[in-house]
Amino acid sequence: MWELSTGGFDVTMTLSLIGVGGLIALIVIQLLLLTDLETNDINSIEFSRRINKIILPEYIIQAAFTVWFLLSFRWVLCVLNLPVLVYHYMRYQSRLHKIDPTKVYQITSKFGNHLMIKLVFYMIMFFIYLFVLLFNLFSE
Amino acid sequence: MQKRQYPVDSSNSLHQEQQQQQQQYNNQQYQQQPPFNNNVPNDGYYQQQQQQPPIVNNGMVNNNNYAPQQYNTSPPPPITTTATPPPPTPAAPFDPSQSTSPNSGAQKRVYPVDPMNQTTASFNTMNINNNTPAGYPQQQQQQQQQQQQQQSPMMPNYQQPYTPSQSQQNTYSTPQSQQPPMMPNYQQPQQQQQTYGQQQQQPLGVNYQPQQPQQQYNQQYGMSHNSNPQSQQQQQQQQLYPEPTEENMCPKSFLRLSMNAIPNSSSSLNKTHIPLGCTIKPLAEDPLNPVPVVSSTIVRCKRCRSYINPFVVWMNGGGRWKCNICENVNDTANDYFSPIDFTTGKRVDISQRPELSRGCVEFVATKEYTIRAPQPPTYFFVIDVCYESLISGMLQCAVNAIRESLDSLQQESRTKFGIMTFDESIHLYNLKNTPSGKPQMFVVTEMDNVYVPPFSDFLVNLKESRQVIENTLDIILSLATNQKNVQKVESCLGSALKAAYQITERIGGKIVVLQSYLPRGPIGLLPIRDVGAVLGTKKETALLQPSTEGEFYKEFALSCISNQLCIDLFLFSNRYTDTASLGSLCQITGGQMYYYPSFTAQKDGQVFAANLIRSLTRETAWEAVMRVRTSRGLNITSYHGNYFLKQSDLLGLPTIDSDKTLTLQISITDNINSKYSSLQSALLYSHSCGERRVRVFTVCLPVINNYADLFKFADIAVVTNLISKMAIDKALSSSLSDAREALANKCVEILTAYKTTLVQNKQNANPITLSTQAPNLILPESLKYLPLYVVAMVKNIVFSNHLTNPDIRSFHMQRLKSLDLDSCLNFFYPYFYSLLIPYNNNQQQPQSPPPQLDNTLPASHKLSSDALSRAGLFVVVNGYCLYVFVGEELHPKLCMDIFGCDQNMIDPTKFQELPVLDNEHSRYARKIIELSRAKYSEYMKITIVRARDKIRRPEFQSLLIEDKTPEGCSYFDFIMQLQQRIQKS
Ligand SMILES: [Zn+2]
Repeated sequence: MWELSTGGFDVTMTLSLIGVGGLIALIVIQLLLLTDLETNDINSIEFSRRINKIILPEYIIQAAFTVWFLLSFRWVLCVLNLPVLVYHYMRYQSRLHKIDPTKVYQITSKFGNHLMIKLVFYMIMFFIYLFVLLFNLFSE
Repeated sequence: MQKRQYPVDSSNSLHQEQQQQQQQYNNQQYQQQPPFNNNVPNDGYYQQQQQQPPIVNNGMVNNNNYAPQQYNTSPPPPITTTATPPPPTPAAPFDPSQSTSPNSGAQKRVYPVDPMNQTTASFNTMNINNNTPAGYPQQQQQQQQQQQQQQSPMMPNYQQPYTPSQSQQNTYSTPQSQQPPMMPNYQQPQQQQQTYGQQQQQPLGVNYQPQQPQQQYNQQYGMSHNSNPQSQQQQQQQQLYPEPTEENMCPKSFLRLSMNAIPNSSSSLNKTHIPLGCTIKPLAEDPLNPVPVVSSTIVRCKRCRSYINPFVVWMNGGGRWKCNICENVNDTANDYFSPIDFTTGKRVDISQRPELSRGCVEFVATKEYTIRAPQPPTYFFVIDVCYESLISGMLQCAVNAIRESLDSLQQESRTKFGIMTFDESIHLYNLKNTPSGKPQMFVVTEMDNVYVPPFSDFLVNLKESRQVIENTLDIILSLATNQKNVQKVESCLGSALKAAYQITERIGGKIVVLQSYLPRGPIGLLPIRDVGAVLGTKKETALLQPSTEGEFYKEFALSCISNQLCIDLFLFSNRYTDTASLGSLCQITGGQMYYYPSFTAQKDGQVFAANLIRSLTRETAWEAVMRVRTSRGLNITSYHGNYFLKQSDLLGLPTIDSDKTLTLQISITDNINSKYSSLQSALLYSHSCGERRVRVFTVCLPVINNYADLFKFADIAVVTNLISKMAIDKALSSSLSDAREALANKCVEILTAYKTTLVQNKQNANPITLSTQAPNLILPESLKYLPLYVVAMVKNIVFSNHLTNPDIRSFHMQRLKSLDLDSCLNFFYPYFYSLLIPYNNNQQQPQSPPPQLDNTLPASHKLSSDALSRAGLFVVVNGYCLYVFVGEELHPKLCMDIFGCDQNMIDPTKFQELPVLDNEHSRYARKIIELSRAKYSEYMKITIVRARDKIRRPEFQSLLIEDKTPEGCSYFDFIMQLQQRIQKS
């Protein structure tokens, strides 16, 4: 864990923490929209429009952190984030990242699972960042 | 030339037998001819048809593409085998409206009374024939009956009630019971007698309530209900429970399920492998079943919002009712209250209230159902006037067709009309009625940011501005003709659609787009996709889906949905036109796509005009939404057709018309413990007359515990339809080869499941074999045509491995998605007729007087080269196109009589219609074509196929699906393969 050697208050980790908090918020918004959709509070066009607005920012934030970890030689964190980055990239490549309003109701359950997995992943990342931050802070 | 011997000739023992059986089939040396008995009563006609044993042979095609000289089926052919498919049925004669006017075929649309649909006609029908594929549950087995009686005293008795219209029903039942071509070993007459016997006894019986099903039942089984007070009480209770009968079920022309019974759990459904689903044709034209319009209050369940229907249970003497969908008990409103007649268990006022006695009703909706004033019928034309449109003659045809349909559009006084033309700029016409009668024309040239001047007069009331509109059509034509020298090829469809959207968005309605090019211009440009490299590979699927650039059209369609706009698309391009990308315009908005590859007015003008007029004048419902509710345990998993899902169960249909069909797939989520399961579809729409209406279809089906029984209730038409739609999804999500695989696998799965059930209970089965050479391939009576349809689907242009232009394949795929049942089946398994007058038995002379075709088509040949002859003239009808095959040895005189010219003079690229000539041969051939056309709402063009035609001959040959073709094995081979695979599994 030599990348933890930068002692003291870790700006990168604080930013990562805020960033992953943002990602969790985005996922929660998507989950809320999904429940709204399931209770027919919003229609499929509106749902897709709102979700599609959120998806790209999420991808970009996630990718930015992965790249930043790579550049700052935090290998472990980078490797942890890499699978999600690759997954996002593949979705983007095959044009699956955006929700198709005509197929919304065929994918709701799958999309829900997908969101839950991501939520769990971001939560884990959140605690790891927190741990690293605190570790650095107190290892001083 | 030496006369060739054809397989249909008498050297064949099979056919000898056939000939012996039916004296009417004659002169087979010249050509095989169907029987014609204009004067023979229908019964006789159908009996003959029934006797004809169609044969499974391995029809391999030899070098010159004619059928083999000899059958390979070596053993003396027993009559146990049948392969003739159900669709070819001259079912029409029983329609009284048709038989009266033999010549009315073209103008007056003869309603296709389909073999399958006739099943719908009556419950009595089904009783006559226990083996009817689509039969409703019957008390077939005593054992089963008693068992069910113990479980449920409310066992439905479908032999009841005997409705007043009995005679009519019997008339319909006749064709049904005797066709589709039945197994010769079919014990039909006896069964018929038996059933009639029962029914006739009934009025003579002790029964004081002839309407009460249970009584007949008790009587039959010697149970005296009078002696047992308990049973009497029981009976009174059950009187309250409404039985599904022919009267109160929704007619099958509107709503039809793949099984006429519901399995009680998902495991029993999965064991059968039969897909559960239904097809709904909300605005079907069914003259036999007019939908009653009810203007009284609309009563709905408080909990699930389903509409009152014949299957609700009345309680507390009529004070409350239990919803058959969600089982919620509702109070009856005071003004809707009516006492219950305890002798019948029905409300006293049932005869005044169609919603309580009919499975299909239409409520006139109140204000609560309207968000805005019902939208007027609105038609906005967007016409491409680029070079190609002028050269091909499309514009001329279109203008003429529009002008022709104006009169019928004007019948509804509120109709709104608008027109716009475009090439590299957009031309708008202010149609405001002015004294001069001349339209004002605006040209918009800024195409990347279209702005339409804020006038409301681009869309005007047709009646008020009729004169201006007529003048505008003239102006459009003359302007375009003047521009012939300026070759404009930049067709800016995207910008034109944006402009059309701005004009129509407040009103909604229908946008009719006529497009001659692959769209170019700044918005909505579509690239030419690389076809050659991926054709035939797994990547071909991508060509059948919208391209990345095609997203524009998808998004445009979505914005149309919110504004109740529907788009009908007519494509005329002679090059790549990307039907897959443009198709999303129609698929999402509930429109329809028409595609005329390499359109020329000489060749396709008539078809295009007919289809355009039809699309404008057919009955259309505006700003519609539809919801299908199911009782507990059932769940709708997916929809097929042209629609948009606004909510998880709410279909948005900006317009829906009488040609559109929706297909639903249903799954079973819970075990169903009730005796009946219901399904209700409700279409809320604006009628052209300005009323908001709700069209409600309700079906109620018995729940079956024993999954083996489900095979009896399967409906091959809907099953085939469902399988084909699932295969299209498979083709789009995976690949065409996977789709073909899935089709064959489905067939194997179903038949394997059936075999398993046979092992479990032998006495219950009535299995059938298709060929003596495949004795181990057993299949249920109801699904005996499944292998045939599967072979047909695998070889069909939609799924086949033949390298097909992706434009054409995608077009047919999309067309199939919203196609109705009969057209869908016939597209897979076409009709096949001879166009020559059948010959008499003994003379080499045509029958004289020539047989009259009183709206009756002859029996269809089976689709194999066996039926072809070199001297013959044949037509294959698949609902989309009429392929007229001209044998190379067709007698010159006959050719002269029918075509008015020598065979070599017929030009397939210019041929549109058979000429109207005054001789019996011409009249006969034209009559067959006219009758074939009358069956379909879509007008079919004629394609002439000469024997030596290198382009069209293979296309024609691929329609003869019982033969071995480049697309796949013969029907016989497929059966053998099936047998092998099922034995292995
Ligand atoms: Zn209810």
